Amino acid sequence: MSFITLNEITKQYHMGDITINANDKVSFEIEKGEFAIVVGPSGSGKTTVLNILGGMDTATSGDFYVDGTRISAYSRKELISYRRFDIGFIFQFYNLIPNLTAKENIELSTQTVRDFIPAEEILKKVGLAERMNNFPAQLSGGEQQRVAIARALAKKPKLLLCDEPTGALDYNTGKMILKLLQDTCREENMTVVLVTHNSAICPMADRVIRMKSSKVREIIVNENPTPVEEIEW
Amino acid sequence: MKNTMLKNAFSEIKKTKNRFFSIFGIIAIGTGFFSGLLASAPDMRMTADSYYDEQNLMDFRLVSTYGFSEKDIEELEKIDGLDIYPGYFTDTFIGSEGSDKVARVYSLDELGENNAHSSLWLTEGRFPENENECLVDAGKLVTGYELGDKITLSGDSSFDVSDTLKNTEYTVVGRFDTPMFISDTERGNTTIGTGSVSMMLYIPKENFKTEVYTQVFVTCDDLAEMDSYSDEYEGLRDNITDKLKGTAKVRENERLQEIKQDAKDKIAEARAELAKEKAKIYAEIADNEKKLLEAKKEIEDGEKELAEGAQTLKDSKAELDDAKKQLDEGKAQLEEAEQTLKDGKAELDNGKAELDKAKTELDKGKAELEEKEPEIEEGRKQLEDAKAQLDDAKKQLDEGKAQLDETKPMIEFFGSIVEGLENSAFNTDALTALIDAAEKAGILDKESADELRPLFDGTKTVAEIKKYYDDALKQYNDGLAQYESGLSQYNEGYAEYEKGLAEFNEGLKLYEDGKSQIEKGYEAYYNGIFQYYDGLSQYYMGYSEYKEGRDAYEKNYLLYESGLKQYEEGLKQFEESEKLFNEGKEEYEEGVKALEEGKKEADEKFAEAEEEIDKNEKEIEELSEIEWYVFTRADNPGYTEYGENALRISNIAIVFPWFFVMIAALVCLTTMTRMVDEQRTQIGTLKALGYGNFSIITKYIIYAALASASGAIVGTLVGLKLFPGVIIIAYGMMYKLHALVMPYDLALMGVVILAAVLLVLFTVYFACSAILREQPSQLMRPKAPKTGKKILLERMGFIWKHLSFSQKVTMRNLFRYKRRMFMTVVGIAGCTALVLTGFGIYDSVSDILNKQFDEISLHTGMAIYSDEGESKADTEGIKNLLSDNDLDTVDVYIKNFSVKADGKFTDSSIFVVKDNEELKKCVNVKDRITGEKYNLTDEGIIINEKLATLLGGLEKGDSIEVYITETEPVEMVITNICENYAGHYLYLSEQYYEKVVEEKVPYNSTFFMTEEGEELSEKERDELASRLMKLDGMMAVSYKRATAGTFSKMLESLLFVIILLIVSAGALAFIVLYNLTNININERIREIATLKVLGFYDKETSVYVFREIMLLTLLGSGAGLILGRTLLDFIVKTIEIDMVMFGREVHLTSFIISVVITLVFAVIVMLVMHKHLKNIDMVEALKSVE
Repeated sequence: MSFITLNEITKQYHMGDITINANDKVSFEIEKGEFAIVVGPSGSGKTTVLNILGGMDTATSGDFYVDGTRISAYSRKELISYRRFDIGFIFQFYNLIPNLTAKENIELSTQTVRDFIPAEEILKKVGLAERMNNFPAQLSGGEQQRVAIARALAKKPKLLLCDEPTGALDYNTGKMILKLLQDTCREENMTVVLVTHNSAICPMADRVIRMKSSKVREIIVNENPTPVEEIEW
Repeated sequence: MKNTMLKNAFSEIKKTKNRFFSIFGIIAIGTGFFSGLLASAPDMRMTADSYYDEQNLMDFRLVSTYGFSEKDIEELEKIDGLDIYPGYFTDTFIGSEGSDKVARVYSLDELGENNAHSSLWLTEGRFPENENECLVDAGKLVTGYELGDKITLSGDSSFDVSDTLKNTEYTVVGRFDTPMFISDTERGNTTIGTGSVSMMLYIPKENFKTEVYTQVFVTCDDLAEMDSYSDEYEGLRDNITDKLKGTAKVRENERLQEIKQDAKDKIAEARAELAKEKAKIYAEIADNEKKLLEAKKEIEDGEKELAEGAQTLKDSKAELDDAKKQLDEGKAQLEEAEQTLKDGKAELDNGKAELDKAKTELDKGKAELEEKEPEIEEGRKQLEDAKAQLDDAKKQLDEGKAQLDETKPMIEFFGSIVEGLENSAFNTDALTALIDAAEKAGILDKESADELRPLFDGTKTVAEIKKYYDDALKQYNDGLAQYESGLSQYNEGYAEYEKGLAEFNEGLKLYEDGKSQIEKGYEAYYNGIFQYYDGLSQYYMGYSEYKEGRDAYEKNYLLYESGLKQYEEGLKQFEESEKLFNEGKEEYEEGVKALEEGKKEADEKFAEAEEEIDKNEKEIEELSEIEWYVFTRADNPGYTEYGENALRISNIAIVFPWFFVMIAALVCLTTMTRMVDEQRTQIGTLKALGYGNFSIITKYIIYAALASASGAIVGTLVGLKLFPGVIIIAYGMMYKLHALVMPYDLALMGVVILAAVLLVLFTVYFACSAILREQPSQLMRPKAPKTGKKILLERMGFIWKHLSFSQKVTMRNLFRYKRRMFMTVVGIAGCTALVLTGFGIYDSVSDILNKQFDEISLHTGMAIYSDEGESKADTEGIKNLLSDNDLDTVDVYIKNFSVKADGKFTDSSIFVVKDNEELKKCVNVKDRITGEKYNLTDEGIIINEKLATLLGGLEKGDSIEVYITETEPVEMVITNICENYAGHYLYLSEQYYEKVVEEKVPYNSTFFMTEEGEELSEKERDELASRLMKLDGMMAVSYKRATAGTFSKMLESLLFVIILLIVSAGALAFIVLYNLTNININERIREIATLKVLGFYDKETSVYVFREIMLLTLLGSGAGLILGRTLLDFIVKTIEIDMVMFGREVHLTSFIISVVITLVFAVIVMLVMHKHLKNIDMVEALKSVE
């Protein structure tokens, strides 16, 4: 079994009498240490898949496994633990706590787990050692996103989930963030799942999952991913 | 456009129900509390006043030591604007002799008259219709009397009820309440029994025998129109009181003079009467002497008459005896005649009986014969029928025979033919011819011939013809045989008929014989009857002759008897006359003797009467002064205290509600600010579209105005009923009032609603003003979240270092939202302060009870005796009785006087005891704060703290003027100031009193106390009181415990008010906390969602949010304690009345409970919010970035 296995995941929303399928029997697999990109136009259900995968949302039907565990059978409380110990989340709008410094934002996360990378160390790694005591409002967008990545990585998650991490950033900063993610994947053997509507970045992934209208249309395994630096868009 | 804005506002309300209702709620609570408390005191007064007015409570009650005469009433009626209602009252014991419960019995006037005597509030039953019916009061002091029960009124050794009342037993027909006694526990004082009245009775006034009225109720229309507790009322009341006292002064003297004059007149009259009587009596004696002489002559005449009478009687007796003899003879003759008549009658009766018997038999015979008649008729008919049948049969037989005879020639002819056939040949034609011949010859008729002819037409064989013949022959023979048998039957029948006829004729003859016999019998019978009636008429003639004879006899006999009776009566009369004569004679002799005795007695009696008159004359000269007492409503038990309670509530109402207003304003401000903040994009869009500031703000104005106006309307509507209602009902536990009067004060409502709306609109303006100043472009962008920054505390590294991570976060959050922090602290502080104030007031008031009655007053009770010195009262008796009950006693002179210091006047009691030792037994004289005990010296007085404050902050060494006499004040020096809560006292020693007043101490009461740790039971108290009251000069007995009991009832009422405060404070705290927490959470929803994504458990998330709220709550509570303590001091000073000092301490438990109650409210809010937090949808929350 693969590191991540999704088996016919369906997510339905009920709006009065109408039932909307956000995910319609989505199935795919991702291997450990892979950099996977879920790509599709907006409304194609890619974020919903990511949320289910990250334990923020639950599927209406279907199973999925992470590292051999059937996460889809988890209770509410087990899902919280799953998020706490196994998942690192990165959002488009960073979602840092504005009232806490960069370091404190990371500490807020690490204080909940037993095994973590100290805040200073991880900030150094993302190149923000000297901005440690700045509040989010004092940081640029790219810096904020790096703090967010650092916050996610500090917990040593099994899985890094990124939801349009470059959506709010300019080209160069976005590229830098993608590079940081790709490097982390390669160096730490971290499994990264990235959701984007920008198909131009697909060549950098080990595996591309194309979604359209709530369904998986195509899964491409890329034997020779392109380094981010060589990608232009 | 306006319309769009209105629509916009309404849809906003729909979308944000919670927010709308939080403004609505806080405004409703705020205005409800504000208006409700403000209206409570006026409503209390109105409730009482309307009860007074409805029941025509008197404004004044006059009582006089000599009652009121008609003249007094006339004088009173001369005062303008007053209605005077004279009536009666008396105090008696309830139940049979020996009872110690006292009833005050009032006279009931004509119903329908508007006065307190007749307009009682019936709670049960009806008004009396008969003289011996009564109404009892519905109070709780004496229970157990049901409608229909009889109630007995009795006196004791000192007075007799039947002197004042016609009836002493009354049937209870109704129960009433009266505003004269709104207190549930007091019915006033009396001088009999235990000294206090237990119940009131109303009886028809015809029952009162008293000559003069014993009381006068006075009402005044002008006063009725005023509120009883108003200054206006009291002013006019005092004015009228003065007038009444003026009249009293005049009438007191006049009346005394009148009484004296009256009495003098009476004495003069009595003397005249006596003289007249004397003359009369002596004249009578002389008269009697004359009469006796005449009587003597009459006696002598009588003797002669008697002798004559005796002779007359003797003659008539002889005549009567003769008549009797004649009558007896007549009687014997009559009896003989009667016997003869009787015999004759018997014979006649016998004859008649026999005749009747014969008649019966005859009737019977006749009936039998008549019965037989139809039988005979029937027999005859049967016979005739039988004859007719027989004749018929004969006729048939004859016919049959004729037929047979007709057939016979044919048969014979046929036979001959057949014979011929057998012998000779067959010739058809011959035969036919033969037949024709035979027909022609008449041997054969045509029929037979036609029958035969075909036989011989040649078609038939001989054998066939022969057979045919045989048949015909047989037929004929059979017919013949039949005829013969019929004939023989007929002959038999005929024989029978003849036999029957013979029998019938025999019977007929018998019947006719019988009939003739009966007829003969009847003839004989009628002869007999005629004879009988002859005899009978003879008998009646004889009888009537006999009767006449007898009537004549009876008449004569009656005549005889009446003669005899007359004789006997005559005899009796004679004997009576004889007796009378003898008696008369005897009487005459006695009369002579009595006359002599009478003469002597009259002499003695007149001498005595003269002496008595002389004595009365002397007494009149010594008559004491008359005194009128003018009582007002304020003298009715409970009246004044009720007014004071209302005042207390009104003082509370002045202070409390401002808190609510302030907090409501803060809550509205936060809520509206949040609302405006949330909609900045929308506002920006509108601005960009070119809407003016006013148009934009209209929506919020409408929103806020609707919320606040509806909240204020609901709040005032509910508050104006709820708060006064609860408060009046709470006081209803002590005071008996009727219908609650709680009108909606429209002016108050209008002002409150308007103020609430304006207040909220102001907050709207405040909330909007900042945002409206910004540029649209700025507004279209989301408001930058408040940037984090270092707080002051962080710069103090020594503290910051020691904080844990989460503590740091909390601290930073606290200071991030300063306004909210401030709001929360203020809200919570207000809540705690209110709760603390509530408990604090309770503590202060209950301290009066606890400290005054347990720590300061040490006596058990006091016996007050007549003011006028020891000579009148049985002080020895009082002391002995008390010592017999193991009670220690102290002589005290206690009396209320006006005191003055620093230009200020007030009333205070002076309390004089022999020395310090005696004082220590009655009162614990000490300092409130240090507890130091003070000693009474002979150098000055000790006064209580409140009195010192009232008179402008007196201190040791100051002096105070006491108006022991009205004109000349006595100056006294203060040596110490002591703790005391109820009433004002000047404690001084006997020696100091005598020194400054220069008079002996006129002791007027005995304080008594049990040994340490002992208490008298209620029964023991009552028993002792009623024994004390029997002693000479006793005025009243009062017990400390009874007073304390009344007081603790008042505390219960107050507790209700406090609960009301606490509940309101709780509602306030809840709304404030809920609202602020809600805003807090909504503002930080992304933050919270992020925490959840990061894997914070539910509890951890809640703790992260609540830690700061909890901290703020604690902070707020602390601030509230300080605030509450200050507020309490202020309130206590405001609501305190002059005569009482409230406790100045707040108990530790009250502090603790106030904080705990606040925390409980906070925890409840958090529990609710925890659920809310748990249900936050992370995905949704993180998605919503504008």
